[in-house]
Amino acid sequence: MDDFDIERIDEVIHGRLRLGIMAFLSTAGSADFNALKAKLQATDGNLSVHLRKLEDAGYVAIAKSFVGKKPLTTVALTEPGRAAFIRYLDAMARLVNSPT
Amino acid sequence: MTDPNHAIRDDIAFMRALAEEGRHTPMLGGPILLAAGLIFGAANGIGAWLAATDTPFSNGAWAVPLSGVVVFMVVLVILKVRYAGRPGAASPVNRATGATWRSVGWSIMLMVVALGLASWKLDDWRLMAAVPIIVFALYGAGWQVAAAMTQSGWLRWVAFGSYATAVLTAYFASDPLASSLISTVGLFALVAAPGYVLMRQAPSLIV
Repeated sequence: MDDFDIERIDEVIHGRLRLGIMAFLSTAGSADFNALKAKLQATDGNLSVHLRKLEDAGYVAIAKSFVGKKPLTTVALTEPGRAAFIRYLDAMARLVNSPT
Repeated sequence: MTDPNHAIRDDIAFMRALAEEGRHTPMLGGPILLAAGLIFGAANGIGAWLAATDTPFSNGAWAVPLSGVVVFMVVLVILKVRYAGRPGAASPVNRATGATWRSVGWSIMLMVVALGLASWKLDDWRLMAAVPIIVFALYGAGWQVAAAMTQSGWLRWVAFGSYATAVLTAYFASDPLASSLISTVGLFALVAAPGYVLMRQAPSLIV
């Protein structure tokens, strides 16, 4: 029986960059903005837009601080964000397992 | 015939395991602690035995723990290469515990050199009796951080055990043989054994 339900695919996560952010943070826990930018090969603007979308959904927490005179933006995966990412992966697994 | 979705399923399962692991990240570094406990425990025990008995090698008993350091450094490099980039290595738990144990290692090494230097300058090698006391106190600190980061109750007991061993070795400071035997048991029980348990709890490379 086909148990795949398209509604279970979380649109907030299901985007190349946002998926990359979630996958990276799921193991790293937190990362600074520049590390994420380098890892995901994104531009400042693009990464900011996607981080804001994840923050609005409560999936990541963004903290701004200073190291010396340099601003430091740290992004951390929240517990709801981790749970949502696991649900997303489960939904994708069902999609792969469902008969074509 | 191979299932074309097999690799994708494995990838998703792997990512899921990583995500789950990040939630309750097990502490890595068990193999390093196991090796440290076994090597230093054995070196300490052999050194104590040589010092207590009359063998042709007894005069070199002091060098045994030092050779333990050399052996451990070689093993450490091998283990670090082997376990680099393991799943969960970048998690906050493992970054914090890794930094803590690195600091413990550096502190011990520096303390041994500093106390050796002070003993030589003062011409009083009794100062070296402080080594196991400080070592076990530092192990206690290392385990306490590990217990807090991993929220493991049993590691808290290992920390308390390390602190208690520090006091016990201090009590037997005037009896080098007894102090060495306590240190040997402590190294096996409070470093090697917990290291083995952590190693068993660590995730495998293949999910």
